[in-house]
Amino acid sequence: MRFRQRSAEVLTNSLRALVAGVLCVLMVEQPLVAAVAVSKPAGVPVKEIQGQERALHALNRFTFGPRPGDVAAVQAIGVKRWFEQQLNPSSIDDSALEARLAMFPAMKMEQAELVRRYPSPVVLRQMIARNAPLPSDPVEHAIYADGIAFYKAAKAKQEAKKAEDGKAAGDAMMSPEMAKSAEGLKEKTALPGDDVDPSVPAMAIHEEQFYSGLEAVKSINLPPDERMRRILAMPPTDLIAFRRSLSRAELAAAAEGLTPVQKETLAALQGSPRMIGAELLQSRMLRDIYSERQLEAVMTDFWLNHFNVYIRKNQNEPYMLPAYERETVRPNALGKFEDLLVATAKSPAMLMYLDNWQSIGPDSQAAKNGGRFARFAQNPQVKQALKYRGLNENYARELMELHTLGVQCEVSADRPVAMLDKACGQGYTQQDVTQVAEVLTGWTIDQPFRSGGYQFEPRRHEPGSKTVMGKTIGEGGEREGLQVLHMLATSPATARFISTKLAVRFVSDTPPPALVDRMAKAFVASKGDIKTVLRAMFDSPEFWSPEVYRAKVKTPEEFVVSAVRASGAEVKNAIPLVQALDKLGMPLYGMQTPNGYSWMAESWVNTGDLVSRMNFALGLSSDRIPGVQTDWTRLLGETKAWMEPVTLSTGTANEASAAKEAKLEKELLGQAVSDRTRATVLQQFQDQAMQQQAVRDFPIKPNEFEPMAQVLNPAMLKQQNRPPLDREAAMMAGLLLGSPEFQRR
Amino acid sequence: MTTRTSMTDCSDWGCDIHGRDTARRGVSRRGFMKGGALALVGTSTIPAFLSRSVLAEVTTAAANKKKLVVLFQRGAADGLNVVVPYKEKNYYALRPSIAIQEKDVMDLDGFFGLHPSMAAFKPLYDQGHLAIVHAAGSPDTTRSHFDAQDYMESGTPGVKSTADGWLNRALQAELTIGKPSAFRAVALGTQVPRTLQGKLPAIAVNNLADFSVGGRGPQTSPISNAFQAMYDQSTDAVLHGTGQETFEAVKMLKAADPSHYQSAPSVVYPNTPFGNSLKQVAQLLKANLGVEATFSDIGGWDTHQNQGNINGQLANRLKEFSETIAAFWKDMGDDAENVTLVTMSEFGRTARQNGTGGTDHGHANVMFVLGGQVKGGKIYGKWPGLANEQLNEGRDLAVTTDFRRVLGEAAYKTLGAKHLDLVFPGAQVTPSAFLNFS
Repeated sequence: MRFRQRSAEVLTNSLRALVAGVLCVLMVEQPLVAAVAVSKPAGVPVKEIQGQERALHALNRFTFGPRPGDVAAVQAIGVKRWFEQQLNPSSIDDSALEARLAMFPAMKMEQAELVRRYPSPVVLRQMIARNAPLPSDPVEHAIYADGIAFYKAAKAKQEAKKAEDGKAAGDAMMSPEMAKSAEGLKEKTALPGDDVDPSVPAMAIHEEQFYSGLEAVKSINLPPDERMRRILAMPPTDLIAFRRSLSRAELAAAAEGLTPVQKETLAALQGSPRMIGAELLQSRMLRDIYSERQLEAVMTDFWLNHFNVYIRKNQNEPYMLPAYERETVRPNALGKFEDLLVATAKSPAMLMYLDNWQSIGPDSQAAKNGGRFARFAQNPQVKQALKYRGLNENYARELMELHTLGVQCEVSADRPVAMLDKACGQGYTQQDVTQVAEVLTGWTIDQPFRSGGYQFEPRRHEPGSKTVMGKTIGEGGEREGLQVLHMLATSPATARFISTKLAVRFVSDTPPPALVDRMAKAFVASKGDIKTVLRAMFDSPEFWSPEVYRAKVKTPEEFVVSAVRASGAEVKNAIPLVQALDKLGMPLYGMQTPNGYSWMAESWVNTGDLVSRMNFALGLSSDRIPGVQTDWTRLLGETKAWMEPVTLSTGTANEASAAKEAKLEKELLGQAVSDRTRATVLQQFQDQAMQQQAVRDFPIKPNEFEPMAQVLNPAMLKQQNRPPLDREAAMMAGLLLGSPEFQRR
Repeated sequence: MTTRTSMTDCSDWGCDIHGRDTARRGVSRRGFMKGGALALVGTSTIPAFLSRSVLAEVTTAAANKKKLVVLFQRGAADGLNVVVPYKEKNYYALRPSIAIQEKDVMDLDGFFGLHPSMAAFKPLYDQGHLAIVHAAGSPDTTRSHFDAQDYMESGTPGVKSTADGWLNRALQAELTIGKPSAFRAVALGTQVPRTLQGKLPAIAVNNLADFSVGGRGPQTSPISNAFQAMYDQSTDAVLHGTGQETFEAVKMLKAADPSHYQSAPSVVYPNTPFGNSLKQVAQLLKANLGVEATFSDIGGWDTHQNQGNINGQLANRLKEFSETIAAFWKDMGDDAENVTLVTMSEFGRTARQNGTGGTDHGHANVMFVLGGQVKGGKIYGKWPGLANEQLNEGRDLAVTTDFRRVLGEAAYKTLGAKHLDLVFPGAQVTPSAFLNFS
C-alpha cells in the first residue's frame, strides 16, 4: 500500500521529485526528506541566503522573534544544529520559564481538581439548588461560601427587578440530564465572574466604595499567613464587603507576601472563571515570550489555532483550556499528526466547543430511552427535547473541512468530483458529514461540569455500520471513530492541506508548489510525523530563497511577542499584553469560529491595525504598558562589544544619536533598516523643539489596573511609571518597533 | 467620468427610475428627462430644483449624500425563526421544541411574523422603512461557513479566485466626481472584511477614539508625522499603501472629530461590540467625512445546540441585533432619509431541528433592507414553502431570490453603481431583476 502510493507519486511528479521518490523507496525506513536534502536540484542552482541573514531568518520563522544576542548565538552553534535542538524541546532547559509560571498554580492542576477547588458558576448553582454541604477544607469552604453568597445577593437583586418588570424569563430546552448538567449555564443571575469575559480581564470597575470600618485595614496589616486565615474566616457577607471596601493599593497590599496559591485563592474570590482565564492567557503569553523551547511554543500556537477552541463558548470552557493546551496540544505539537488529531477529538475542550458531547445517535439506546422518559416528563419543553434529541453534525463537518481534508475536497452540486484536487480522491459530501457525525456519537464528556474527562458512552452510539467516503465502517462502537480519524489523518488530502498551512505559516503567503509537494510527501511517507515535515521544509532550498526572506507580515500576536522579545523587556504582568492583542484584533483563545486566525498578510495589514501597532510600539518603548519594563541603557551597554566603535561621549550630539540609533537598529531588527527609516528616526532628535513636543506627546496613559492582576502580581504596583532613563533611546526604539521593517519577519 | 456621458445614457435613466415611488414625487422624472437631459448640458441657467434632481440621479453617493450600511450576521442565522412562517403547518412539525408559536410572533402580513425579541423592528416595518426579503441566499450549495461567507462577500458564488469584494467593486463602479474621501469605505472592526477588500482603499477602525498615533490631540503629533514619513517612503508595497491611507484617515478624523456627534439621550444602543460598532457608524456618517459605505458584523448565530425559542441564545442575539439597528435608525434622525441598510448571513439553517435543540447548516435565509427610500412594510421574494417535498435537499428552505439581486439593487440605487456586471460578474443582475424594494 505504502509502496504503491509512493510509486504513484513518482509518476506524477517532476524529474527532481522522481529522483527523490526513488531514493526514498530504496531507503525503506529513512524519511523522504533525507533524500531530498541529498538530491541537489539539477540544473538551476537555487540561491540561498547565508551567514547572519540565514540565522536571522531561522529565528524569525521558528521562534517568536530574536532576542538581543540570539542571532550571534545561533550562528555560533550552527543553524542546522540549533534547529535540531529546537525539534527536541525536552533537551532544552526551560527552568527560567517554569519559575515564572510558578505564580499560576491552577494551571498545573488536573481538570477535576481545578473545577473542585475553583467551582464554576454552574457548580455553584447546582449546589445552591441541592442545598449541598460546602467543602470542609477551610480555604475551599471560603471560596464556595463567598461565591454562593455573592450569587444569592445578586439573585435577590435580580428577583426584585424582575418583580418590578413583571416579566418572567428562562426556559429549559434540554433533556433533563443535559438540563441538569448545563443548568443555568447561560442563566442571567450574576455570579462573581459572570458577565465578565474571562479572556478579557477587563479593566474592572473598581468599586471605590466609601471606606467603612477599620477591620479591613487591620487585616491587611497582619503577617501573610495570619492575614490569609483572617480573610478566609470572614463570613461571606463580610468578605464581600471587605474586598469591595479596598482601594487598589490596599488590595495589592492585601496580597503582599502571600504564596502563589494564597494569591490565586484571593483572586478566585473575585470570580473563579475569570481568575482561570487570566492565568491561562498570561501563562500562554509568558511562554511565548520567555520559553527557550521556542519552536515548541510556535508549533503549539500553530495547532491551537488549527484546532481552535473559543474561551467564551460558555462559562465552562475556561476550565477545559489549561488541560487542552498542556495535555492535548503541546505534547503532540511536534509528534504524530494522528495522535494530535485523536487527542483533540477526545478533548473535553473540543467536545464542548463543537457540541459533539451532546450528539446522540437517532436510533441509539439513549434516544429510545429519551422517548420513553419523555412520557413522564412534566415540563412540556423537556418532554419535547427528550423526544427529539439526536445528532449534531457540527464537529463532524469541521473535522473534515478544517482539521483534516480541507474544504477543497468537499463535493457538492456545484463542485463535482472531477473538479477536486487529485489528493482528495472522491472527496466528501454532506452525506459523509452526517455519517461521520453518526460514527462519533457517544464520544462525550463524563460529568461535563465536574471532572470533565473524555468518555465513550455506548448507549448514545448510533448502531449499525456506516459508510464514509465509500468505505464501510463496520459496527464497532468507539473503534469506528478511531478508524475514521485514522482514515482522515492518513489521507493524502490531509497531508497536502496541513503542509500548505505550515508553509504559509513558515515560508510565505504564496508558498512555492514544489516546496508544498515535498512537505506533503514527507507527511505521507512519515505517516504524519510533524518533525519530519518541518525538516523537509528546513532542508528545502525554497525555504532559504531570498524571495521569502522577510516576506511574512507578522500577525498581531507575532508582532507583540517579537517586540517584547526584541526589547528584552521584563514582564511582571502579562495582562496588558494580552489586552493589546484584543485591541489588535487577535485575542488569545478569542477566535469565535473554528477556522482560527489567518496567517496571511491581507488579514492584518489595514489602517486600524497599523495605528494600534505604532501605538503599541511607542507604549512599550516608553514603559507605558504597565507591568512591562524596558531597560534601554542596559540593552545599549550590554551590546557594546559587537557594535561599531563609536562611543556616546565623543563627537557631536547628532553623532551620538546616530550611534545609538545604529545600535538599536541592530538589536531590535537584527539588521539595518532602510536609509529613509533611519533618517526619519534621527530627524526627531535634531530639532530640540520637536523633540520636546514629541516627549510631551508621548502617548498612552498608564492603564487602569485590573484589581485581580494586582492580586496576582502585587510586585508590579511598586514599579512606578518612571520616565525611561534614556528618553532618546526609548523614542528611537518606539519608532523602530513601529517601522515598516519591524512589521515583517 | 464626466456628468455628460452619464446623462446621455438614457437607458440607465429609465432603469433607475424603474421601481421608484413616482407617485410620492408627483411627477415622473423619467418622461421629463428623456427630452430634457441633453438640453441641460452646458446650461448655467438650470432651475435649482431641476439640477438637484439631475444630480441626484447621475452623480455619486457622495454627492447625493446617500450611504449604504452593510451588516453581516456571521455564523448562519436561523432565518426561519427570525421571520417566522407561522402559517406553514410543517414548520411546527419540523421544529417541535424550538418553533415560535403563532401566539408569540409579531404578525407582519397574516402569514409571516417577527420573532418576539425583534420588537424593535416592528415600528420600522409598520412605518414602511423596513423591507424583508425571505428565502434569499446563494445559488452555491456549500454548507461550509467559510466558503459561503467568502462567496457572499466576494459576490461570486462558486468562484474562489475572485480577489476583491462586491462592495469594493460597487464603489469602483460608481460614477465619481472629484477626489474621493479616504473614508469612502469604512469597516468597523480590526480587519477589512472580504466584502470591502479590493482596489479602492478601505479603512478599518475599531474604535474612533483610539484612531490616532502618539497622542489624541487635535493636531497630529510629531511622532505621528515621523511614522508617516517612514511609511510614505517605504519601498514595502503593502505597508506603504496602507500606511498612506492610515495617516490620511488619521488626519481627517482629527479634523472632523466625529465624537462630537453624540446621539440624543433617547437613543440607547445595547452596550455590546455590535451596538458600539453601529453607534460609531452613526458618528462617522454624521461627521461629513464623505463616507459612502460601511460594513459591520455580528457573530454568534451558529446555533447548533440549545438555540431556544422565544427565549434563549437566538432570542438574545435577535434582541441585540434589532435593538442596535433601531437605535441606529433613530440616531440618524433626518439623515436616515439618505441611508440604506442591508443585512445578510451566509446561509440559513436546517428546517428541521437537530438532536440537540438546535439547527445545522441549511440554505436560504432572510435579509432585511431598511432605508429612507425603501418601500418597506412588505415581504419580498417568492416563498418556496416548507412542505417536506419543497425543501432543498430534503432539509432546508430553498433559495428563490439570489442575494445578489438584493445587494445589486441596493448598490445601484444607493451608491449609483450602474455597472452591475462589474459588481456581480456573471450574475446577470439587471434592473429588470430587481425586487423594487426602493
